[in-house]
Amino acid sequence: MTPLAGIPHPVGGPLGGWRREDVFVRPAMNLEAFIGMSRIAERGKFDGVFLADDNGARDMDRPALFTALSGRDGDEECRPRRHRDQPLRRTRDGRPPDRLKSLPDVSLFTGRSATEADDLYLERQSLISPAPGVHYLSKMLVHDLETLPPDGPLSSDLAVEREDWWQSRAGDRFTIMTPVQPTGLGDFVDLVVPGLQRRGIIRKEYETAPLRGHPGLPDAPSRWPAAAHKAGRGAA
Amino acid sequence: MMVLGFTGGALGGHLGGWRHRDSFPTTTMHLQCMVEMAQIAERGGLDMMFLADGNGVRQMDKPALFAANSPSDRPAVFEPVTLFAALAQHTSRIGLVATATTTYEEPFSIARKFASLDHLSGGRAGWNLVTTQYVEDAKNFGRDEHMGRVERYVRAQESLDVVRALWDSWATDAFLQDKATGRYLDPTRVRLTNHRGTHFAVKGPLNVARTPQGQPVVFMAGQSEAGKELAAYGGEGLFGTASSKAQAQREYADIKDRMPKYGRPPDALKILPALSVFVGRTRAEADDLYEELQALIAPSLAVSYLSKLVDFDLSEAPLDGPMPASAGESVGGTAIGRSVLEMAAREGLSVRATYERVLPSMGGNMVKGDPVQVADVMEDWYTGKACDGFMLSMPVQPRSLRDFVELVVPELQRRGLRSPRYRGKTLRENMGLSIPADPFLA
Repeated sequence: MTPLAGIPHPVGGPLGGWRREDVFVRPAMNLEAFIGMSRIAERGKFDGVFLADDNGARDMDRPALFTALSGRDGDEECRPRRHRDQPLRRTRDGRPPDRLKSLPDVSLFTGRSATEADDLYLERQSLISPAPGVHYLSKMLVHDLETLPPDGPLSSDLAVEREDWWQSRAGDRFTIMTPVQPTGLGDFVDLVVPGLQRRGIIRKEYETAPLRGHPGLPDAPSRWPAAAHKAGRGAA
Repeated sequence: MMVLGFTGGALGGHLGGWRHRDSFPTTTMHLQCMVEMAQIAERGGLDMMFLADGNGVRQMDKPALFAANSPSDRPAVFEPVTLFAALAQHTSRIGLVATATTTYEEPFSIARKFASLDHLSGGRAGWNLVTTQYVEDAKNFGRDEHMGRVERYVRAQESLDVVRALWDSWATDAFLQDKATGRYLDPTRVRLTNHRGTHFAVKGPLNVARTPQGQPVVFMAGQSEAGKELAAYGGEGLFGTASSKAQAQREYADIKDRMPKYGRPPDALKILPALSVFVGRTRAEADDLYEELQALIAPSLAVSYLSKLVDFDLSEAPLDGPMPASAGESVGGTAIGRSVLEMAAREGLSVRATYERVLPSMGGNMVKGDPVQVADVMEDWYTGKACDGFMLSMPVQPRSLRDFVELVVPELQRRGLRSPRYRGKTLRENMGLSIPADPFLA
């Protein structure tokens, strides 16, 4: 069983996603958008939805990026990345390996056909003007690219390092990021999830209500013996 | 218009309330109880649901009281802001006022969660600013001693200033979200807080857009000298504890008189004394409820509760002997405790007579009778400038709230003291408070 998490941020995944016409008209502080996204994820029987967070405004010193992206930014550092050092962690804390679930994030461009997916990808690229794009890449690579021409090559050592970074990712489930919201997530749920369900890779129905049950984590042990619970009326 | 809120504990306001046959069967961590109360109150057009809160489990040193779970001790309750985020989705008009402490929380976190709640509720959030009166809370935040009252209030004022500056981070129109040009926001419509003070250093800006009501409404509950001054300085709602009309009138005049020096009109702060309501269709029905509840409290439990309230151990004092005199203003002593001691001294009450007076209302003021009698008292206080409204305490939940909504609210509406429907969508509008100006548009 390969569980899934989704990131229900209405601004969408990659830079520029929010500009498509089929994205929420005004995603900022839009509760309905979060509800809609979470319902789509639930329709796809996801394990959960995941919200990155921080307590400061990012990129106020980079006006082009600040203007273009805003609230969506900052997630880059907060995504569940622990899978990278997971083998080390498993030996260090002595817990069974299946007690820690890793969820590498994957950005999906889904279409009814490969061409439709390519179109979506290219359309999204065209919505990123060069200035915020270069700022964003500089941040991701922790390398200032703003002095380079936008159409010139990236240095090869950086490219190799990124390649290795991606290839080192291995996990037993995924955090799904979709480029445009809510259609990207909806397309994934409508077009991809049924196929995965047919192959028995993801569930067709939820088996339990608590989040722990979805990826098959055991209940947290109680410090109290069972008899103590019987004495009181207990919580709901 | 008379402002009305109610304290939203599902246990009810009376120490024996949760044992009464008309109470919720169980309440601990039951979201549905909270939803039901909010919806009943909304049906009656109440302006707000108010949740007191703390950060420690209380009365573990008083086993009888601890086991009986007095309504203000809250050993297992929802965190109020997350609870209100849920209730906001089950209601559409009622205000949601949650408590957060300036003594142990950072202003950035306070500003953020209440701004978020204001968006989630469409402009119905209120922050009840407290400095925390319970000493044990300190021990959950890396301190062995509670911060002294003077320091707590200095810190509270600084925190309030920072929170409000953070709420003013963004202009109303900052988030353009213009898909055609790619400009998500306007970088000229945000400003840094850049605060460096005695207790806090906060750069800002807040990572929440300006809220639907401009800023959440700020409530306070402190009745000490420092508390009154802070309420005059920056409070918009004040939870009062006066136990008599005369005392309420004195405090009302005192606090409102302090406001002009801060450039604030008196009606920018609504003073809402606590009022426990025992209402019945008839006077006899109200009396029965009152007696039923009193009968659910054993004297030892009552003494234990009174000891807690006045912050003074009365377990050795003879039940029918006089109430011992006040031990003075303690670090953690409450306004309610002082008010009870004053009442006992003024009227020469015994320990038993004191707890019999205190239990029904948990130390605040109370009214008992049919709907006309209850409305008479409320009107008398309101027109007599003893208050701007009330923070209602309901002895048995959900019965008392339902009775109030069905019996008393129509009577108040007939008298023109309450509007027949909500006046607006935001808590500010319903309380008759102005929307703070957006400094970017000024």
